[in-house]
Amino acid sequence: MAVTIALVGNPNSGKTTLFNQLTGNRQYVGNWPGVTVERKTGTLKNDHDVEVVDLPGIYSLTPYSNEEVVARDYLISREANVILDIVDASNLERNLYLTTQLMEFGIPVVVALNQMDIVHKRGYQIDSKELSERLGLPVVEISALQGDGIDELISAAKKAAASGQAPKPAPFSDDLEALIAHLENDLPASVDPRLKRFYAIKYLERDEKVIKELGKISDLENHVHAVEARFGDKADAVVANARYEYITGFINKVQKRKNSALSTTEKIDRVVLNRILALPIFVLVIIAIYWISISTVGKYATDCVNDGVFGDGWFLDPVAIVNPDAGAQAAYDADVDPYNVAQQAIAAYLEAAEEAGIDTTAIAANFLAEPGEEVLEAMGGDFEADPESEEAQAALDAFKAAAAKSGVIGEFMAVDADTTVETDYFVYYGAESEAAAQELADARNAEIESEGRAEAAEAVIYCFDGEVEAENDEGETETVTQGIQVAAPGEPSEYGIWVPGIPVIIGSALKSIGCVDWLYDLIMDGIIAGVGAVLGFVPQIMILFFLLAILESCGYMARVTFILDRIFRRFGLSGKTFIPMIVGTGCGVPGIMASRTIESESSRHLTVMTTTFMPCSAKLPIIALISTAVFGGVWWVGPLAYFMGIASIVISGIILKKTKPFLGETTPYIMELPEYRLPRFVDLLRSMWERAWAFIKKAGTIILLATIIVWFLSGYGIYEGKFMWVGEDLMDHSFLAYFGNSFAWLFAPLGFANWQAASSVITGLIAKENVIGTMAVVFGGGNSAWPLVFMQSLGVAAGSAALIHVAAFSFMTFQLLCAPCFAAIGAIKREMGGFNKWFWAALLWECGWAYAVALIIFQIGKLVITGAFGFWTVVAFALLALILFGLFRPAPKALAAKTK
Amino acid sequence: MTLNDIAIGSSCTVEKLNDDGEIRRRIMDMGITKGAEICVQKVAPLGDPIDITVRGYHLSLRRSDAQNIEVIPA
Repeated sequence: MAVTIALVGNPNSGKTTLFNQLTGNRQYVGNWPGVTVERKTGTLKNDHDVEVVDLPGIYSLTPYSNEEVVARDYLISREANVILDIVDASNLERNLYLTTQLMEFGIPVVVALNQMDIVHKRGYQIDSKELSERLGLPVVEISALQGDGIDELISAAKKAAASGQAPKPAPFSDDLEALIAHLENDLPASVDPRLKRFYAIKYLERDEKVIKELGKISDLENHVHAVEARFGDKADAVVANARYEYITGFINKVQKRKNSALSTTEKIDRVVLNRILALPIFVLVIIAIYWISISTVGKYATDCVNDGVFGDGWFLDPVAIVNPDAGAQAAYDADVDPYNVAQQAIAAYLEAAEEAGIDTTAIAANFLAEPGEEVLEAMGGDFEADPESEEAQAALDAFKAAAAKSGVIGEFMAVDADTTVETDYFVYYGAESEAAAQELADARNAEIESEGRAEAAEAVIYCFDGEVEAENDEGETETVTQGIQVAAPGEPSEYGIWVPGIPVIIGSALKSIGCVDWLYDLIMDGIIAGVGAVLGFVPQIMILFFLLAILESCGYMARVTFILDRIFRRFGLSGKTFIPMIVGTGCGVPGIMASRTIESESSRHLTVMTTTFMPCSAKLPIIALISTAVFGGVWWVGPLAYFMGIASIVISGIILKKTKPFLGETTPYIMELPEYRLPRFVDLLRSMWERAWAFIKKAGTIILLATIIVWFLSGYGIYEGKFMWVGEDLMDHSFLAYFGNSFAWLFAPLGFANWQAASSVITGLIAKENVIGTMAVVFGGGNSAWPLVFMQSLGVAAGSAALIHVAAFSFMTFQLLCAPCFAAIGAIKREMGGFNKWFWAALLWECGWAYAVALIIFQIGKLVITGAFGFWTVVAFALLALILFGLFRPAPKALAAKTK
Repeated sequence: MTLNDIAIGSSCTVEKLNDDGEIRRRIMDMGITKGAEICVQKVAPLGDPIDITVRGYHLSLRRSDAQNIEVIPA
């Protein structure tokens, strides 16, 4: 037999947890009232004939917010054969209020007493047999979380559905019953006879929706006045009182509550909701979440993945986890880093010498790891490098003699990947050029000092071939070899257990099967570079999801609305606005949907417009990139990005609430504060994994496709009138460059007017992960040091290397605040009700706000750093003044009167 | 006397709801009906809203709404 079970109950009573238990589904659960905002359908795990419908939680059948309309309409439609009423046993009295209303639909009702574990923990007693007798309904004790009592519940529901027996409604006082019976006779003829009592009571309560649907009753007012005269209160209050009186009539026989000492929840709240501590604790919690996921554990994990799995490879080395300064990686780095510097120094010095007319071919061929094809050709086909050979040493002596006489100085810059400190090297050989190099270095250092960048850059001299005295970190003088004296490090496998990275493995596999060049490039420089750059952030995102899962399931979210309501009310919203904001840091789509619990329409529109200012998990890689690659991993960039999101919402709210479309009543605030629950570790892991898996799947589909398109568009182009493969060297002539350049000028006042950044804004609309994926392809093309190329390009676009940081921050700000991805734009469209003026206003506001904030940041930053004052500086101050005006101007009178 | 006048830690009994409109219905649905016992537990850091216990659970509501709930102090 096909049966439909409707799950109904108060918000946060555990309906979705039960739904997941019954159907084996994995719907989103949390610990605050209003997690489920849509109706969801599934079938029983082991009986697919039984359909289960999860309805949003409701306190009553008088629809108050949108989600409650969904539940009531479904019950009136009578599609359900049985109502499964989930009752939170730890909050019995108020939960039974809804039960008394469900008994009036003429549909069999089965009561599931959930959260009995909390009841036992508190030392309460509930007599479910007595409750069943009093209500005249089957009552089953369950624990949805542990999965206890589920089988009994299913069989009770099936039995009730089969019998089809309508429950006996909760009886009121005789006087009220007589008046209701009287009204039942006057109902319109169209009313389903089984719903007579339900509709009679709704008419008595003057339920506008019902009156609109069924039509007016001529002498309704007489009926209502009769009730109000008899009981001396408004009719709806009389009915509500009657329901609670019915419950209080037996509640003490059913449940024995102990007036015990403070419960755990109350003890926690004494601290967490303490008048002085509450706000600082809230700020600390937010900082901790985003700091941990971006800067600390998350960064460490992401670094490992980026440098290891998606880089050259990594060491299997337990020592490094305990002490990063020891172990195989550290030993390897200690040999590799000086060698890399030496190689760059040799190359730079050879270049200078060649310009001075000295033959460098033999030196390059023997002493450079990668001498270049021209050099190898010049040396002949069967040449093999051997620095120790007599020929090589003779050539070196001749070269050194010539070079020392000419006094050439080579120059190059290197950036430390960890600290982002730039070092300018002046490479010399011989005493005379040492003095000249020292002079150049001193001049450069003075220049750096005058630019105020002494923290971020320095100039040093370096010997082409020699042993020099240098101070080490401990301040002791020791002899250091430099230049060609530095020995090449061995293979990584000589230092420990070495696992090659994915690009290395796939690259050698492709070469071994003789893959054609363009496909090799597409896979290595396009797909692996782009998708790998996105997947590299999975550890950070998993940690964020894990921490969000804790926050959502422990019960703190409802407390935050309590702490912040006073702030949000200042601009007509309620503390509940905070829930879409936090959910939105996981993904904007559920964040926008969570706005449905907000009762007033104009406030809901405002929330939908601003929710995506919170950086979602797909934007996290952008924050992580800027905070680690540009700002050297300082702790404050991550949390600042999130507080910037909060500030954008609050400031937008204040400004918009004073404009005409948003003038309106203050959103009401009334919120249940649920018990704290210790989340189960397995549930946290499951929640984390499901959302992370969705992220990974997206990387393998949408991001993969977008990356391939970006690779083609950036690889092919028109150069000198011909359609051709432009590759890395001529990428500025690629189709993507033409496309990006067509509007990159728009971003000039923001400090990042280059086609690479501009096109990442567009690919970011498809999915925000694309911002990083695109840049990895266009800046790196397979080179994992692409963030440095990105930084250098920002320096060029901003007009000065000193402006790299502020341009990068402006870039991040714009990317975080501007219009969200298409999926979230679709959610905005749904919540606004189509492509209407609300929808376009939302997009326009988001883009305009992002542009204004990024412009202010860059222009004022530029003014502070370089002192440059121009047209755009004026615009920045004008925009700032405009925002401040919107913020502090008095509210129009209409609003002031209403929000008093 | 209204619920807004009750000191933290004190209890009272609901007498009548004065407000009109939807928020009044919601307040009743949450169990604040005639005869219900309320204990004022806490005030939010910025002075509003307040946290009360009614019918054995914690509920937070704004002072402006508490002002519309007439009570008799216990």
